[in-house]
Amino acid sequence: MTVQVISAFFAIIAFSVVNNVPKKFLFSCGVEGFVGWYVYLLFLSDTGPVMANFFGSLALAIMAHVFARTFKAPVTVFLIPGLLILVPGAGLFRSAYQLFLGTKSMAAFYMLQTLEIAGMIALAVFVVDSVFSVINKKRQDLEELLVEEKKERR
Amino acid sequence: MEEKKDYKLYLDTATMAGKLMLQNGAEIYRVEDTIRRMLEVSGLKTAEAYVTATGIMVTLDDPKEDSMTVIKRIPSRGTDLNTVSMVNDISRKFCSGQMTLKEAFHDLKHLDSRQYTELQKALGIIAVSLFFALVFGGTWKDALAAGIDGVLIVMALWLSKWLELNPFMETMFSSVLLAAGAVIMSWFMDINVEMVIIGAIMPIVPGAAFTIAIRDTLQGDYVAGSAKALESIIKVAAIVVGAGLGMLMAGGFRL
Repeated sequence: MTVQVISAFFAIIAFSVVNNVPKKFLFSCGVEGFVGWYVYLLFLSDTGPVMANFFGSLALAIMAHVFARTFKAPVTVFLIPGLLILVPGAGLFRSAYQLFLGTKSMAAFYMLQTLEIAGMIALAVFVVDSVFSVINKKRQDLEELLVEEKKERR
Repeated sequence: MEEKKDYKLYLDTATMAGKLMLQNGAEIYRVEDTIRRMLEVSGLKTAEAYVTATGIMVTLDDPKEDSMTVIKRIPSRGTDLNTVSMVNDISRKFCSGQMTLKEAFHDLKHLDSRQYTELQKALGIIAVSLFFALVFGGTWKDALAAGIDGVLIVMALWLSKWLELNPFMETMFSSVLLAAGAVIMSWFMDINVEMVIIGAIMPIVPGAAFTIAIRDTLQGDYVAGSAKALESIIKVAAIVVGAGLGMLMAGGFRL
């Protein structure tokens, strides 16, 4: 497990280089990969791969938003490299393998699982995006209110 | 007369910023938002931006002025997150008044986002394959084999660039090579073929298109969202067919 999680860190840094992530953000992207895969492995044995992907993506998306706020960069810069770690490449390969072997039922099983995982990742990103946009709006409203109050006092 | 020219520069600057972002992996709503914010600095009444996955339409209008419209076609799309980040910085500075219009235009025009050499990027692809084999629980031998597959992917990508293959063929070609390579390597080394292949396909898996598809769809940009989703499905199909074909050619199904 230690090897896996540390490899996740370096894998995401390498993928960030391929996608030309700004040098100052490389380390943060690596940390995302590290934490995302750690959370995934943590939930894997209890909840199965589908829910584990959900929780992993949830952690990743939250981190991407927090990093984006702290470094004042677009969320995409952190989300695209980070989420790669959970993209269901293994399921894809397995369904292709079964398809070529001719065992259609196994191929359908893996394809369905891959779709479920993709859906779960999407759901996690949806949830975190929505929560952060609500927080953003409320904070803006509050700031506007404070400015108005100051004006009135004067 | 001079003021009118000024407005044209506003339009050009905003469109260029939008184009750079859209080409390099930003979401539709962010591109529209950036263009609109930059145009609002001009102080004109109407500033509209309509962005799709393949083009930008921008209009700037005011009762006192003639309306101006720019249409920009976006022919190619890739992922270059440094450009997205740099354009975002420029637009942020411009909108908060830390940068004049001319400075912003100049900076956008001469934007240079290169920070890694081609060799470093190639090594990046190899490292992605290598480390992902470990991430999925492979042994050191599997990782080594996946790294060699990474070299094959780099070669396939260079060759497809030279032959000017379309994205589908490019992905399929890389996939065939890496799958065949993994099976052939299993004759000489004690490796888990499945582990090697699922690690090695990670650099060509359409993770970026998938992520952008999700976020575009959430924002209600269904046209762009489904375009990106289709892009990732096509690439996935290419990978699946390629991996199967590669294993078939190398005789991997006797295992």
